[in-house]
Amino acid sequence: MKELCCYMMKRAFAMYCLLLLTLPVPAQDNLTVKGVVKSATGEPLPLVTVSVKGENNTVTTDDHGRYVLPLKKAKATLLFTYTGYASQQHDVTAPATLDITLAATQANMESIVVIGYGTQKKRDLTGSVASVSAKDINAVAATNVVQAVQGRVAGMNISQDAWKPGAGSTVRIRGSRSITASNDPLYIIDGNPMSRGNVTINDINPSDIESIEILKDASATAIYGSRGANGVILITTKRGKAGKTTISYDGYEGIQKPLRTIDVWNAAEYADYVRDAYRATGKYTSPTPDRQQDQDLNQFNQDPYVLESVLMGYDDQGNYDPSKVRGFDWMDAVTQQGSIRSHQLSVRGGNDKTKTMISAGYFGNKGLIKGMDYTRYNIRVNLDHNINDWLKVSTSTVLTRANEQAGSNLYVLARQTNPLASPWNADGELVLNPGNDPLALNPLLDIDGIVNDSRKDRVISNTNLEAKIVDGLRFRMNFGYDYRTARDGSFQSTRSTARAGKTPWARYGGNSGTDIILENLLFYDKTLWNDHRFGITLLQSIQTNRFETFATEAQGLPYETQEFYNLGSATEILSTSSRLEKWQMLSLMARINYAFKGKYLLTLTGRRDGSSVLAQGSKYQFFPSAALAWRISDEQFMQDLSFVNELKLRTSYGKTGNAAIGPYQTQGSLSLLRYVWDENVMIGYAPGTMPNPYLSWETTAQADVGLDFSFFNNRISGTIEAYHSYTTGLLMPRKLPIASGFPEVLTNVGKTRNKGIELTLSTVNFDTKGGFRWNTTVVFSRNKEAIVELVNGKEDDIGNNWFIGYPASNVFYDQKVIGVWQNNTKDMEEMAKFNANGHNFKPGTIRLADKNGDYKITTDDRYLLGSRRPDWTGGITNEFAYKGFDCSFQFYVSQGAMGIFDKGLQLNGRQNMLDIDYWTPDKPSDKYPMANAGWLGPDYIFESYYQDVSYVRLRYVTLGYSLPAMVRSKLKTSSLRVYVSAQNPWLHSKFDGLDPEGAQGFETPSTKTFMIGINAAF
Amino acid sequence: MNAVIKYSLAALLLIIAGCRRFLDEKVVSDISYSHYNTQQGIESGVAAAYNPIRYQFENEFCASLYELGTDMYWDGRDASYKTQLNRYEATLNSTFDPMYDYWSNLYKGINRANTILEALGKIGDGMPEALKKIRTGEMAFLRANYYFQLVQTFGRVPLVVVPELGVRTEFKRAAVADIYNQIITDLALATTNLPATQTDYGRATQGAAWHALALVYLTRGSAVNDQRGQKATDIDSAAYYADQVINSNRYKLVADFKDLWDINNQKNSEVIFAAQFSKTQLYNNNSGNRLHLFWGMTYDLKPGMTRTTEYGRPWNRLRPTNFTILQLYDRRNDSRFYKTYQSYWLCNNAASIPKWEKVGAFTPPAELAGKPKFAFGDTSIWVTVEQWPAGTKLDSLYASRPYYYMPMNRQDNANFFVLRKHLDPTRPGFNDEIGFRDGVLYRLAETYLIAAEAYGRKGDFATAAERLNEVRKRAAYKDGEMKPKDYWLIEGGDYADRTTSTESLMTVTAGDLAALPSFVEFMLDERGRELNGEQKRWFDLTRTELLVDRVKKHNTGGANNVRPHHKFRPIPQNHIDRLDPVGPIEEEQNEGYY
Repeated sequence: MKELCCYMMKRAFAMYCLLLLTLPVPAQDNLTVKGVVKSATGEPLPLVTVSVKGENNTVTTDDHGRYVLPLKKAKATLLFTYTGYASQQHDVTAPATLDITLAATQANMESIVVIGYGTQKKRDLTGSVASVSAKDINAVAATNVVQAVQGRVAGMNISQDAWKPGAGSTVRIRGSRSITASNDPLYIIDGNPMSRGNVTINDINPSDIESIEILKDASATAIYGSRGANGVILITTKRGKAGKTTISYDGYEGIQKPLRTIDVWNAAEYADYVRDAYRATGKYTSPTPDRQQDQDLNQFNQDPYVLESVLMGYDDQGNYDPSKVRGFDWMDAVTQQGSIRSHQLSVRGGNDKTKTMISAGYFGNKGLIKGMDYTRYNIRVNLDHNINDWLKVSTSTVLTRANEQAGSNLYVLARQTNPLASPWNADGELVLNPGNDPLALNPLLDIDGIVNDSRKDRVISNTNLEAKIVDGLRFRMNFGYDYRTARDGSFQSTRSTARAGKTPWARYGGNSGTDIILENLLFYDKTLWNDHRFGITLLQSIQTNRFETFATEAQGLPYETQEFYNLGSATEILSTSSRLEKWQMLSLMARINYAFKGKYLLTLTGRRDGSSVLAQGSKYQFFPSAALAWRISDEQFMQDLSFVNELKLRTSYGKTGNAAIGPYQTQGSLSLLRYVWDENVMIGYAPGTMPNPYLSWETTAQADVGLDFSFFNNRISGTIEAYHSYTTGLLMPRKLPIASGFPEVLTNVGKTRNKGIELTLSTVNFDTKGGFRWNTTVVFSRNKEAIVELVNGKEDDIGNNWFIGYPASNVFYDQKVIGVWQNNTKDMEEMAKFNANGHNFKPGTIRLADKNGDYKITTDDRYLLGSRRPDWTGGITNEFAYKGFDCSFQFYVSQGAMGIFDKGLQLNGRQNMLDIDYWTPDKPSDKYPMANAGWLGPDYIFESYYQDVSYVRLRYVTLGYSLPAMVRSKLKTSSLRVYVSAQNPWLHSKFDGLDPEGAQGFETPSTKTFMIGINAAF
Repeated sequence: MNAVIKYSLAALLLIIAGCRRFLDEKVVSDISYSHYNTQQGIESGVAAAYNPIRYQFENEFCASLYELGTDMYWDGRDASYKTQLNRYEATLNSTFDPMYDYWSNLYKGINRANTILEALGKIGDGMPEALKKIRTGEMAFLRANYYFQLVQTFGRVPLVVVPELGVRTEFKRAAVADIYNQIITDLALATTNLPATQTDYGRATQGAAWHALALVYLTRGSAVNDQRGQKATDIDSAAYYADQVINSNRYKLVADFKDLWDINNQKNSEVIFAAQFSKTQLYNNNSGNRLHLFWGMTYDLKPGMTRTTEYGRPWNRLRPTNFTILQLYDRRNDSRFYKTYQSYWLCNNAASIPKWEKVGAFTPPAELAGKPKFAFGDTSIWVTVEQWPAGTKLDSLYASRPYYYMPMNRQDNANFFVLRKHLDPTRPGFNDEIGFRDGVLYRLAETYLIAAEAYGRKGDFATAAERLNEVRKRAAYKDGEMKPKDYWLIEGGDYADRTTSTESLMTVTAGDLAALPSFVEFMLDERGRELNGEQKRWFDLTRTELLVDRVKKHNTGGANNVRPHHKFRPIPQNHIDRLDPVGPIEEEQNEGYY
């Protein structure tokens, strides 16, 4: 083992190339070893590296898993390595035939993991790094790469922001720690740090990704210094491989349907609801529907069509049959079947000098709500070239174009539109106010009447030059360039709900951003006296960021067909703006890895960051970290415990920062306000933000303990980890009494804490000779975040909704609904006591808890109800394989969070609304108040919208079949897999809205997708 | 190898040393505080300080805060703040959100004025002395106005008169008397610093400062039970400063009350001070005068009607009380009622003209049956003050009228007399919310009423009657002026008198005033008639300590809940929660709200 280590170490950097290199050596029959390499399921494995130990002699297997390896000496030790499989070594005496079966492994300690500024063998890791492979990423049909990682990494909580096409996700690594600064992790794509976090991740095609590494603890992230506090996500794209050129095609087509829909009143139910609302005011006296009284109701008779719809329910004798009431389904009219598709073609190949990966991808998603659409095109070129034996150059460049039609929020409008009314008038034209209600607007107008069109272009390019100076010493220069430009155009027709007869409106704006980074790196690896292995990394880096925005907004456009493409014709420019922001960073970093006997591992890092956004005189900060690991399984005393394959204990401590201060924030600024003297404009400037020269970054100190294990021939493996972090110097927009003129100021005060545990467990449940294999991976994470200290020490800050011991944001502090007042003596007596204090409670109104028992509902009656943070999240993934068939599915669980479903209940018999069980004298509900045409809405209704948003979701089920070699050879493909998949087909939650994740209101419903796909390689 | 490392490190150090300036931050798009060290900066700060006076014309909240829950207005069907502001329910408390926005707007204005006053003190020779004096006067005038709104609305509030660029969380509420003293000091300064007229129309002038000072003295001097720091001389001062305005001859009443509200006559001789709104929306910071929205009723849903810019976008927010409609005015002789309220509409939608048909006991004559009731341009809605006794067959009655007939029996929270003062037919589209009418804060008629009230309160009824008659004469129908048909059809006037002057019927004598059971209440009503809907009512009721009494008498919505403590609004919870240290609740919050 030790020997192997040394061998590997010497070639630590060149490994990729060597492993994959095929050297054409003339075959000598008498000294040749040949054979077939297969997987446990009996599938031949192509591209397995077969090498002679201690020699530079390597071949790879062909498409049928066959290899032929000429030896120089008769006796040799052969090493079989293949990514994702346990390596094997065998002693042979040539000539020989050696067939090998490689076992797939989840916890391959020999595998290479990407870390900040380099790679490391998993066995040598001291920090907390989770890795997700291309295979896992492609199991999910996702718009962006983080969606694909959901449920696979313990401690990484991913939730969908929304379900409209092109929507992003929120990613939190080990919880949130910041109140106002960003909690988004830092993304590094092929070494390029992305300056605008989550926003930009949509531009990366998931199919291009080779692996994603998630750096969680301070030891792993501290080398990113001021930007590492929220964790780091390293994305490595696929690169060319030496050997036969592979052309592969991956594609799928799917349809999307809403997972859940919102149930609103149909026409007859709505009519009943209107009658109830007027019964409450005494205007509608009949206990049953009454033709004459219906005719007298304004809500019905102000539109003849509505009245006609209602009266259809009556026959000549005046008998009422609700099923005959005419209605229109607005929800149905604004939705459609969605679709999703992705097609990707890539070419990978090369030789020992030059390796290439070229790919082109297309992704399209048509939304469930009419008018929503997202399309993305990518072209990627990754090149590696060895100039000579000590100098090599690599580049990765991707071009992305994304078009988004954001549509409009039709669902919000549709659920409140009168179902008795018609969208069209007698001439078949869309009407403005269905039901003739001036507050009701026709959502169907917006399908054509509102355009929200955005186009983004992006180039991310990264080039580096690497020189081997002497043995063990390498120098690398890295140049990264990220340019993105976005154009947003919006248009609202006169005939749209947004304009409702006003002149047409349009906005044309955009932004462009450039990040340039230049890094110089020195790597030095050395082993001394056999047992002492050193690795040193030094970095010097400069980065600049430039961001420009512009926008013009106008109304009174004479030609609607021009949309937002000719703002010059507008009669009135409403606003026009442009802005420039720039920042620069200077950094130095050093890292030392030290290993003693390969089993005691130490990593020390330090980074010094300087930033232009900080005030003069305090521009620099230092971020150190240290980590220790002990490979217990390598100790002598463990050798008897043969079931232990791997056992490693590691611990780390370090400091990282959160550089989320915008440029110019330390200086304060004035805000533009215009005033006029008669018609002469005067540009005014009012005090805007308060200057704050003391503003600095937040610092997070984190301690981490973890145990990596692998037992029973790697059948059970995983990691258990616990951490504790404190974030100090918290940036907070401290709310101020505005009597001084400023409502708030951004300051570094306060402290938060995060502590949690994470578990990842992978098991091989079955691995039979017959080829049946069943793997399970479980991830579990529990994070508790809490405010420890605020401006005033350990006092709650109610004005900001900050409470000691509770999460820093999204805590709900409000009055508590305990039911509906009923018409009984006990309640009447209670109500009388409240009403004596100015309340207006009566049977059928919302009852709140009177916390202090003073018979007055005031701010003193607020409770800490809960928070949006889940208590724990987890995922369980199962994978089955049998003779070319594969099946996998994943459940994702989020428990203990609270959310708000703002149902918008007005209960005044006017707009349509959710089908709820409201209070009536005959059916006294205890959940929802009465309907009453006399009010604008029930008091305290908002307080009834809090609810538990725990859920269990089946994220996907996929069934695939890989065609056997016989068929493939006929089709001239080296691999061919077809699959069907259902994405997000099932959800269990007590939440009564659309989806507790990403659709807690009336947004686009969450989708379930049914798709078929092909993976083929030629 | 060592050499390589050495050289590399040396190179790195060089790069870093060369990059020392690399981290400097140069502001390009923003403007920083040093701008106020220049004359241009001060002028921009002055313009910004004027902005908050637009606020009360820009949103429904202020319109509701100043009019709802009074004797004159109650809630229309769609009023957003009906429970809090008209019905005085328990939801009118410190967490009533818009209250904080209102509070913030005023304190932002105060901070801007404080900032510029300080900058003016520092600029030295950077700005001409004469100009500095005028700008100082303007800032003092604005600051006084903002504090005047605060003190009337909330009573005791923090009194901040110097700008603060650092964090401050400690604020004690000042005594009401101290706030009035500050307001009077500021206004007194403004009267000496400000010129008679300004080159820029819309800037504060000496007349505006006099008027404000008169109103402030009258307000403080009106206190009987309230503690405003009132002095015996306050009423004299009110009369004095009001007379300064009147005798300056810089302003003149517009001859016809109706012409005051002509959108094309905004810059009229009667305006003393008005918030300026431009016809260019951008210059209003994409806001504008939105008062035209709130007083309308659902005329557009009536047969033969459609929504137009002329008649406005009816939001059904503020509905006149029965007191306003039936009791307040001498509708026969006082032209202000029908000039203030729109009571009939002309058909503007030929497509929906109703037809004569049989309804209940009404059968149209055979020659009319099935024919349109009226033609395009004819009267299609008529709102009247008539009240039909119980038992009247209303359906048949309505069917028998050749227009949509709306007596009191048919009026409700979506059907009522419409205040036309704020209508803005120059908006580009019938649904446009942004209007361009200047927001008049002080006009000469009010100055006369202040003078009249002050003299009357002093017992000088002769001068009071003289001042009052200036306003009442203008309110009367002039000789030869055609009265509305309501005059002879409904109000009991003689058709023969339809163009006779009512001036003699409108004027009052010292004896009339002396004989009044309450001169103050009479003046309160006179202000109601003249300044109806001009955002003065709430302040007049609290100033005269008549809020509870009047609401109980005339506003059925608020009658049950209104309490003496409602004379002040609750201090916003956001303010209290952010204080550090925070005092006991009795100290930080107004009585009745905790």
